[in-house]
Amino acid sequence: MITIHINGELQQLADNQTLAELLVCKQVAPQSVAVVVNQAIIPRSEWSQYQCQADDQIEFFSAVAGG
Amino acid sequence: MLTIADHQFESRLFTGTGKFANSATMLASIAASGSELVTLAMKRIDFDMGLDDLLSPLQSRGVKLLPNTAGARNAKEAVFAAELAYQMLGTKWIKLEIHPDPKYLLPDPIETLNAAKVLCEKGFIVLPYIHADPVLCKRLEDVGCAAVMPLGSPIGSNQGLATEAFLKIIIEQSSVPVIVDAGIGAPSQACRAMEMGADAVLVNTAIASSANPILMAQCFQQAVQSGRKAYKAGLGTVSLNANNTSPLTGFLATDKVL
Repeated sequence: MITIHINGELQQLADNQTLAELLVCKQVAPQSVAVVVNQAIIPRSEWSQYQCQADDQIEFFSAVAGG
Repeated sequence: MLTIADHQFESRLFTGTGKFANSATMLASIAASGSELVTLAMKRIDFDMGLDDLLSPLQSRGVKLLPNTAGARNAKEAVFAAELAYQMLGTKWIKLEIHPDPKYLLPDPIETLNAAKVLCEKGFIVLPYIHADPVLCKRLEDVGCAAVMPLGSPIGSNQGLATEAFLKIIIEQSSVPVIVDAGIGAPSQACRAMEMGADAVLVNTAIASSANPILMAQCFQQAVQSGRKAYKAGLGTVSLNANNTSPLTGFLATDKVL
C-alpha cells in the first residue's frame, strides 16, 4: 500500500495503481476531467501508463459553471 | 455572420453558465438566448459534493465551449489553466482572464498581455477579458488574439456600459472582433453596445440573476439582434440643436403670429 494525496485528501492505494484505475475508483467520468500530478498536467494518453507513487500530489479538475 | 478565428456564429449573444439556480434553468436559458458560445470555469473536484455533469447537455446542444482561466492571478497560472482546459475539453479556445483583486475583479493588463503572447505562440485561440483600454486592445491584437473582450463595468455588477466612450474607440480601431463582456445588466445596454458596433456581447449575471432567466434570455437575444440591425442601418446624427421634422412655414401664416 502507498499513501497519496487526492485533491488535498490523504488516500491509501494499492501498489502499481494507474491514474486510469484511480479515476474508475473515484467514479470520475474520464471524458471531462484533467489530471495534475505534482503540479504537472498528465495528458489523457498517459493515464493508463502512469503508476501512482507514494506521496504523489494528485489533483482532478472538472468543468463547472462560470462566466 | 460573426467569424472568430475560423468559426462562424449566427448569434452575437454569448452567454455564461454561472450563477443559475440550477442546471436545468441554465440550459433552458441558453436555449432561449440562442447563444452558440458559452463560457465555463474549472475547479478541483469536490468528491463530497458529487459530480454534476455540466458538459454532456451543453455538448448535445451543439454550443461551442469557451473555458475561462478565472482564478488565475498571474500569467503563469493562466497559461497553466489554459493547458488544463485543453486537456479537459479538447479545445484551444480560451477566455483569458486574470483578476487578482477579488473585490472589483478588474483584469491585470500586464499579466494578461504576457499570458496572451505565450498562449498565442502555443496555438491557443485567445479571447482576453480586459479593461476597456484601446491601447491594450491593439497590443493584444498584435500578439495574435482572436478577439478582444473589454468590460462594460465590473463583472456581475449590472452597471452597464460605464466605459462607453472607450468602447467606441476600441470598436473603431480594432481589426479583430470586439465582444463587450462584463457588467451588462439590461437588454437595453446590450442593444446599445451592438448599436455602437460591438461584434458581440457576453452576458451572464443579468440573465442568471433575473427572477425569470429564461424570459430574460429571450429579451437579450432580441436586444442584441435589434442593436445589430440598428448598427447596420446606421444611427442618425446627434446634434445639439433641434432640426425640424415637419415644415414650419406655408401653413396658417407665413410671416406673422396669429
